[in-house]
Amino acid sequence: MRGIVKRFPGVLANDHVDFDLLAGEIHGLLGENGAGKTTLMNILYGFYHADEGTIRVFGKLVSLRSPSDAIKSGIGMVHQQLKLVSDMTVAENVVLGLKSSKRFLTDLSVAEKRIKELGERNGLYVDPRAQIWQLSIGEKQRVEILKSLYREARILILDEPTSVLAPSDVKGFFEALRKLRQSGISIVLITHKLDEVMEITHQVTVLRKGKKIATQPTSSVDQRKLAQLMIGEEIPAAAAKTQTSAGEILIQIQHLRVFDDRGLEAVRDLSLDLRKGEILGIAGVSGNGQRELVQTIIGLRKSSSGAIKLDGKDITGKSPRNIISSGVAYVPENRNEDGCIPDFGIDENLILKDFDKPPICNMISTRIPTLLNEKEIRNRAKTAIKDFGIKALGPTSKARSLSGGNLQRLVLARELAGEPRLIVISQPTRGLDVAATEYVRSLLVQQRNRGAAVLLVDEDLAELVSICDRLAVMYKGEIVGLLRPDQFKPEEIGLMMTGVKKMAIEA
Amino acid sequence: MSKLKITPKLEVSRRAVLIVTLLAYVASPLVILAVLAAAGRSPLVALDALYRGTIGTVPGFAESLVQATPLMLLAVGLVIAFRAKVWNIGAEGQQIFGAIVVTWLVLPILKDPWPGYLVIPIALLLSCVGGGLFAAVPAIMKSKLGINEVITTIMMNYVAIDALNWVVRGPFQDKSIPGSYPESPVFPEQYSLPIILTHSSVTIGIVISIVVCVLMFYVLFKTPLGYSIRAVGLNRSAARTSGISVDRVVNSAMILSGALCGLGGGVYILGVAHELVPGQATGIGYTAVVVSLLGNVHPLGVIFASLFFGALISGMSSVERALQIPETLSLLSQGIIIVLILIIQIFARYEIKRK
Repeated sequence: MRGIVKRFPGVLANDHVDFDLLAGEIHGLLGENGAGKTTLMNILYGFYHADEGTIRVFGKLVSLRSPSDAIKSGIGMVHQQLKLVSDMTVAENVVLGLKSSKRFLTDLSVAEKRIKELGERNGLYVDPRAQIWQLSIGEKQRVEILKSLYREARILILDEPTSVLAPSDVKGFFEALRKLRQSGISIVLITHKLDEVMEITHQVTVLRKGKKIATQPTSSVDQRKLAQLMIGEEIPAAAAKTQTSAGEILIQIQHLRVFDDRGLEAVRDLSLDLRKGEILGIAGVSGNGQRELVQTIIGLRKSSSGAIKLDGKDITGKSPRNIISSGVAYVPENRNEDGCIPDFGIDENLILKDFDKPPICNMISTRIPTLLNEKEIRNRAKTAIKDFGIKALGPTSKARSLSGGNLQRLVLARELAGEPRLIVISQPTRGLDVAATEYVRSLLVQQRNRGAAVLLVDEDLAELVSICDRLAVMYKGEIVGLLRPDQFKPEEIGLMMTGVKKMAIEA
Repeated sequence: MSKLKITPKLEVSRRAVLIVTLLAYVASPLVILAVLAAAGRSPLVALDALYRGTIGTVPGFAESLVQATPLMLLAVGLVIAFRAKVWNIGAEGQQIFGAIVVTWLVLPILKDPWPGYLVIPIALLLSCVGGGLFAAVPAIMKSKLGINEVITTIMMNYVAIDALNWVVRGPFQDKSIPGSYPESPVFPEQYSLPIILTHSSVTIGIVISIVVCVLMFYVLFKTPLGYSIRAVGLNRSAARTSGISVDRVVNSAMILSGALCGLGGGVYILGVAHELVPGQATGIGYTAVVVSLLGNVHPLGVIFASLFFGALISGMSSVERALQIPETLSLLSQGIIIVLILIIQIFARYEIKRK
């Protein structure tokens, strides 16, 4: 790729970027959020069209007008958000959009056989007849890769593939990538995880603010150097954690049982205490009941038995509105789906929780709402933009125009307002760049130091270990380990997360 | 050959929407003329008739406003529901029910009429209540039982039409003339909406409609209720997560929507029909769906879309008379215009580029 330029309204996403992928290599594409990594690769995949620049694939000048052109040129891409039809089988998803050998009828048996074969050969085995919704996210990702392989891709672009994987799955996933490479497939790995770059790539290209900063053989750099290239300055120091002793119990979960959407028991007889002024981490591979647990605390899901007490008061089965107004904040993992309204401006998103209360809403006496106080709303947006460092054109910019890190800042600005007593937060830094990650972590520590209780559901072990005061490990809906900082050993936690080891928990 | 690629714009500028929409409106007479020319009619005569039927003469202008009046109320009602992503297709039934309720109020006070300034406001208010109650049925079916509102609101239209046909042949029928038609007695004159344009049938209804649209603009964009309606419409899941009761918002949007449609029916019967007849079911409830879309699902946009549509109806009937063309031909050009405008509006929201 030579001299690639891509402009979006108000942003220069790619500024004369050159990018070379050698045959049979794994090439890391590194950069912060909004550095233009995904844009560049979407251009290669024909999803976007570059404003300037040329692309050659295997030496041939190509014009990639759509993903189907790219696929014809042997390029496949797995997006961060997987694009699968959940009510169809693996095989149906793989052949979707392809011509069938039997003209009008789908012929799956051939496809199923080939998918099985491809999967076994490359360490990506998935049952071709399984329905997508039955699969774990790691398996879904395999399906996406198989889709590309099935279309005979020689170049595979993976957009932050490990961000959705449990640490234990990453290893196997990298093994599969190595196998793919051995069979002659070139891989672009978009990421901002330095250790991954070091572990698996041969070359690494660093982008910053749409510009290419460097391309170097991985063996010639170290993590420090890469981080410098990526951020352009020294990494900010980790949040200072003052040693405070945790206060009294704020939230008490007693023998909680919850069913998931499929009617399976997702949380099984779970009991947990959380104290004021502590960050309690919930570690675990996603899909072990964390989501259901959090939704139940927030009031979005009903429990089948057990109780949740906030400051001694039973809040089990109360509405989200009720629970929020008793001082509970919630930062969901899907910022775009549950955390904000993409088509609302920053200002409108910030009032989502108190739009019908003063001072945002004017009232006649104390009960009858009248008009929204636009001045107050604008001021709040301006303050939040300043205090939380949200990068945006203005207070009315749509949330959809914000990058992941800025969106998370927006959600935090809303949730942390009004000094909540309990903060429930899921995957707070997933998909965020280094600067935003540090910022979010320091905010959480700040909140804890203020005396709030923080329940941190996370798959990022390093993050959990660095900021939690206590760590609960969740496996198949149960707490299988409850650890103090001196017991934070990644190997141990890893074993618990995968159900190999279980700790006796004193009640 | 280069293909065209259409992608949604990240930020839609309000001005672009406005300009494109205005352009579409201005260009639409050309479409009519082209259709008529294709059918072998003189475009010049048609143009003249169109002019006289819309803004060229007082009767034409008046008729445009009369046509626009109930349409505007129904369309703005639908805007409220559509903004919450509640697909109320029941405007027809709701306006009919509004009119039925008005008749129910007026019938006992036909002989010794009460003063109009008393009856008219009460009647209009009741038409809102009627329409709102009628919409509450599908609303509750949706929020409590999860039944798709598109189906229930359409079915409720048939309920309303059958109810209308029954009351005009039964309890509400004018029995004073033997062997009478299926219609209610004619309302006394003081129950008619006041005329605001002399020598025409333009009533205060058009003023009410515009005021309601402006009011709904405020409700939708400046009040907490409107905020919650838009939040629920744009992202149900985030709204729920942040403590908004989605069911309650859906119910409110639907009932408010139905109330406005009911008001449309009330304004029609008091301003135009002056009696309850089977013809109260004009199909206007479906036209209103189109008008609310033409108005960009915006309360102020709906004002212009309704005026435009009223003018189109009035203008085309003038053309029909002048050229002696069948109604189907004029309906055909109306259809083409609608599709055209909806296509043109894409230009404001999407980028179209050569690949």
